[in-house]
Amino acid sequence: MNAKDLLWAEGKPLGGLDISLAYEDLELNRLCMLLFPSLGTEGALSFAESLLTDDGETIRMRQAAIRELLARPALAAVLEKLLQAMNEMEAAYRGLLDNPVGQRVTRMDAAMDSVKKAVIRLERNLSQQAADIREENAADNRYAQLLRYTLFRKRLAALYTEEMSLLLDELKREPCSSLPLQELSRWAEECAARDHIEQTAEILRRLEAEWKGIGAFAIDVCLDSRRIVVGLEVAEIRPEPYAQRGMLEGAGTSDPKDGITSLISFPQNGSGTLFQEYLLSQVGYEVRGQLTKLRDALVKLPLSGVEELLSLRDALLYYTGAAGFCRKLREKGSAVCAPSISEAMTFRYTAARLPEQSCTGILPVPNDLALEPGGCILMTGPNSSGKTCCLIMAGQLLFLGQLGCLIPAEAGEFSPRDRLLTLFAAGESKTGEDSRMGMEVQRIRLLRTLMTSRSILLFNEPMTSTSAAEGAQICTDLLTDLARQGIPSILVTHFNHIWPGLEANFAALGLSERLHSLVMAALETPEGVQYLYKLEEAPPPPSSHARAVVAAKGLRLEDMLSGLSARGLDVRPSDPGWDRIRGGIL
Amino acid sequence: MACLLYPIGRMPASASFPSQTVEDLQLDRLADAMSISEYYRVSAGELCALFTEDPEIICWRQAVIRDILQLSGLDEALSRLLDSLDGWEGRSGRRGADSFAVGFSLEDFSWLDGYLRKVNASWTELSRFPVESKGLQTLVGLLDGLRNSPRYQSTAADFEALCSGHSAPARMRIGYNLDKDLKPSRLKLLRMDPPTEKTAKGKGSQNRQMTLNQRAIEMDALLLQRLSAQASQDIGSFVIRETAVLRGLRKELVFCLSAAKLARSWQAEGLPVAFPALRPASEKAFSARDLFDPLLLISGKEQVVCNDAELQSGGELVFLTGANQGGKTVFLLSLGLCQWLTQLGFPVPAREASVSPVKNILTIFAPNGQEYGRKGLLAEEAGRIAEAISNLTGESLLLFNEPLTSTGPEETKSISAEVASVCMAAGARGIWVTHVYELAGERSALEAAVPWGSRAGSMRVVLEDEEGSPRFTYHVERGEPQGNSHADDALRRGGVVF
Repeated sequence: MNAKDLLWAEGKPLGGLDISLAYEDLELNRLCMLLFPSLGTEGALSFAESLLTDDGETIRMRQAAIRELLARPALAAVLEKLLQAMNEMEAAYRGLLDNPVGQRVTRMDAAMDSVKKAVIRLERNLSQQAADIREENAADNRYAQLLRYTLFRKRLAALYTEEMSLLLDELKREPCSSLPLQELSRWAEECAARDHIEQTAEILRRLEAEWKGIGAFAIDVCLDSRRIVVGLEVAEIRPEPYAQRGMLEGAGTSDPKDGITSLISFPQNGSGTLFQEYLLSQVGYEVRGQLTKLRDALVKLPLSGVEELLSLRDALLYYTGAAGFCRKLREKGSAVCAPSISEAMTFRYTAARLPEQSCTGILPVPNDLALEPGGCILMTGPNSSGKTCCLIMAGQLLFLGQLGCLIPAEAGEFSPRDRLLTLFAAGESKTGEDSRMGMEVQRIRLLRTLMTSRSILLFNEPMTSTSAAEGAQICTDLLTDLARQGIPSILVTHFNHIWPGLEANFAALGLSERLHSLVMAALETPEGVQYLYKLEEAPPPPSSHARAVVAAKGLRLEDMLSGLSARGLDVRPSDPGWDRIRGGIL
Repeated sequence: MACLLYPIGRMPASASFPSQTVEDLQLDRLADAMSISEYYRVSAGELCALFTEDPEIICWRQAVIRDILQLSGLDEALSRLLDSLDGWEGRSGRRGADSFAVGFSLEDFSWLDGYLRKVNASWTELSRFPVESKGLQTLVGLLDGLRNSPRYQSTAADFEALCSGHSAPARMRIGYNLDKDLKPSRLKLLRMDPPTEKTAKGKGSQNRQMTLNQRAIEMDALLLQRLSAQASQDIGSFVIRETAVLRGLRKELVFCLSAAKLARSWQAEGLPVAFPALRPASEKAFSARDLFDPLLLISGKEQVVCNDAELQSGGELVFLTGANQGGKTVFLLSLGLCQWLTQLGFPVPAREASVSPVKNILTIFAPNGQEYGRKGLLAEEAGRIAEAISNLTGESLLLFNEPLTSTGPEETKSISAEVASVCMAAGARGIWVTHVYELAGERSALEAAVPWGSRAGSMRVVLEDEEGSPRFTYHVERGEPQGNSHADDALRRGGVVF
């Protein structure tokens, strides 16, 4: 069994979702960090990307396992602990595989003894010392392998027995219902029986007390008068490492035992690696008696399930991450649902929230959002009222859906897509490579090259780097063209006046029922604009209430004038000229 | 000790420079391009810390850089001095590059006396140049005073006490730490022993002799080489306190050599270079002939076009309009960088220039999605503008690049008019790039509303007609806005046709 059996319905990846042009705009890296924090930003995103699918059966299978883990937090906790131990297990297991000779050094020693005797017989003129040198040359890195093999085996055995015991205890409490967890349970019981987990744990505890460990060693390099290396000796082997600092760094205040220089890194190239082996082999040779005794005890312990357990890593990472994410959503007060697969709608969500914010910040206001196949949503409303968040929400929910995760909504359905494509207003290039307009044009060209009828396009205030009239016309043409090709899209904009033109164009195409105008609701009160963060189906409003936003940032005319005046600038706040400015001078 | 960047006795003014301006003017890219080497990299932050409005300091620096540009061989001599001053840190850095060379050097263990000899050599070399700038004259005098200093003799004595065997080591002990993968991944030089009577007679210790094969010899030599390089670095740290005065000159030399390199890179492309004439701050003057954007040279992809630029004395806010991708932002950057370079004391990218220092350069360029996240583009921009206004003075230079576009067109227009008129009322000068043609077209109304403030001007991108299509010249000129941004043409050229 391996991770694919637990992650894919057919045991192999099917379909996918291309997010390469959308992940930055939709902040998917931040979302993935919430799902798989141990992988780091880039690692989490690429891991999630590898699991995206458009296969309905796979999605449903994953949803079932996540729901079960949500219902059984103790089992989820055990899987999380197992996952944490797995990194160390992987390192130890790799160490074991990389040092196979360590397992049979004794046999090799015996063989080498007979070779040595033969050499002595055949070359009587050679001294015993010469024969020893030949023997050591032939030994190559086998004592290094002995040292590593022994220690890695001990570490691996300890981790394996401990984690498997925990897993079995938890799985035995209650039978699993979802397919992936049933498979895991069956496999764990088989392994435990095969490997006598309990007896192994007892033996390991006894051996634990016998291992002293090696933290550092020193080699004396003997030089002749020309500074040519003429001899090497193992000068010291000790359990504790040498200190980072040396005498020079301490300027007379350090302990002389710390040596002269600071610690530096060993050269990690081909020759460096070989020399590391050489050194370790010499150290291993010095303590070979102690190592072989410990190794002989360890190799008797059965570890047949280790390899398969390690191969489950991706599945455990996915399920624990997804379940943990949903748990956080619930703790924050969000409803969580498993969206169904449906070809009737591009998506339809009831009381949905922006996933990432629902997990980390103040719980956002839930919104309903629906889009027919090939449909178009024009999303308008006041500045800072939450339009971009809703747009990102649509993208993140689709992403989570095709990852097989549950989503923060009361109900949901969606039709899997092949590509998530976005165009968010370009900021100024940091490298001066292109103008804002140039960058947006290039992006549109790229999107049009990649899009298919199974894609979805999300636009956030495009075409603001030209005159408003020209920008609005380009947006109208763009959406009409997408509708003609049956590609669903959402446009967030302040070009509210494009609505009549869009209506006319969609009507001409016979697609009026697929065009929606959603407005972020806001109330005008005597105190200012009150944002409701709620989408309503309505024609675009006449104003974007920009003044409320800029005023909140201190850009009210009176505030600017009083601030400058207070700093001694001659701006004459009470001059009648300001009334003309207030009245809309242009 | 500052002598190249500031007149002696003048404490460096603590200048704060807006980080947003650093980003918008792409000062990091310019700093990278002028850096004389990877090792002696200058950063935009370091350069901005030198931004000054003090004409005496600007002239002081201009004189130093003029000497470097005019006296053949002076920059090489200063580079050698820089290498010497860089001293211990620099030595270890360079040694890393030839770490695979045969043999290892313990030279640094007995180099303290030699350090002073380098100071002496630098003085001898520099004193033969007929420098006119007071900064370089001061530098030569400083070296003269230091070259016989007893400080480094005592440092050498202290150091000698730490490593008695360094001159002829017979045995060097290397310690290795094992990592969690049981690899000896970290090492250090523990000690160096001189030959003893026993070792001289060929008798070793009681320890087992390890097999000595060719690989072990080579790797030990390499490790000793690296450890000696590390020792050089450690020695560098050890003597830092002794060499603080000299090392204080390092940045100054790097700064001046970088300035010279930048100017030479323009000259090599046949482009003009000038040391701007400084005008009094009260004149609010900015005038440059054949001004160009030095960032275009860095990318090397675009044609460099020179433009004349002038802001009316007494303060003028110019609204710059015209076609998308017609060169508005490039012009804006040219002017901003010219002002910045002037106030660093650098030569500027123009044939001639006449500039009044400004208190600050305030920029508003469109943020990108990663910067404003979900706060909203307008909110982010409004915050930036409010921050700029809070730093606004009558001696500020404003560079606005298509601000406030993330709302309805009418609201963009009215808020822009308010912000522009506030800036004018405060007496600030600058450039405001926009597609809101009414700002330029109705500028006289703005002027009339705040008649005591700065003037309002209009410049536009120059397009030529080429068989019915616009041809970009990347020139700008004074004139009324033309009311067309040619966005459809930008789409067509980008290969987008609906």
